[in-house]
Amino acid sequence: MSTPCKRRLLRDFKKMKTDPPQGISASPLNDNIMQWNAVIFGPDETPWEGGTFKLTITFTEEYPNKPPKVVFNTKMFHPNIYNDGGICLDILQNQWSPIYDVSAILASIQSLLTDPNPNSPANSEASRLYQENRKLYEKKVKEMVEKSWEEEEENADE
Amino acid sequence: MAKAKIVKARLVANWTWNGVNEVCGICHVHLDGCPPEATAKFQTPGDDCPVVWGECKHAFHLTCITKWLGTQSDSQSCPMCRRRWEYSG
Ligand SMILES: [Zn+2]
Ligand SMILES: [Zn+2]
Repeated sequence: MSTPCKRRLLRDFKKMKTDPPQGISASPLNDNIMQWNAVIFGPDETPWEGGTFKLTITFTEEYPNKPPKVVFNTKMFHPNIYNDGGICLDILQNQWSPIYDVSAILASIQSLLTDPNPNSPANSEASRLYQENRKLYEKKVKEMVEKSWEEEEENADE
Repeated sequence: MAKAKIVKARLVANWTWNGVNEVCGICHVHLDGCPPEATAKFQTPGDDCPVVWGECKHAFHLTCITKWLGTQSDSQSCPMCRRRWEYSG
């Protein structure tokens, strides 16, 4: 059945296909438009360069009046990303607005990668290194980016 | 000339985006069109769907903004500018 939520998601999908933000791709599962897979590519000239970070987005029928649940499936090292992949980002919580769509959500997460918010730490080690030892922080991020390639290969073998 | 029979026809609809001001920020349908909320029920495209303005000059379909305000318990804010939502006029 076509619900307001599903129609909105079809529009979001159409926009992702015709006008995707740079370095971002996303599409719903074939049999379930409420569940999306997305990939964010690490922005060039940052420690995140070359990384491919996978996410899943889960919508409820209340979308766009309620935000979707977004989690990273790739293991991340970032001040605002929890060990389980959960993201601490205001627009996905109390600063949500129904004007956001999939493309805006993912673009915000992409900019969070290179512009963390030290005031709401989700990973205390990453948060501490980001503030106290930027060099080591960037080294850890690069290690994580390389690991994301290994994960990629493992998945390809399956 | 051989006769051709159309077995299956696929209708493709094209949507154009003529600037954000003409689109309802919530459902992303044009303000002069109907939000999915309404078409899903009983209205056909072309029927009049009320559009409302806030004091902040932002416009939405009536059904869309009512639903959004209904999900907000404490602060009733405009989705575009987050100012307190007051119906204009
Ligand atoms: Zn609307
Ligand atoms: Zn406003």
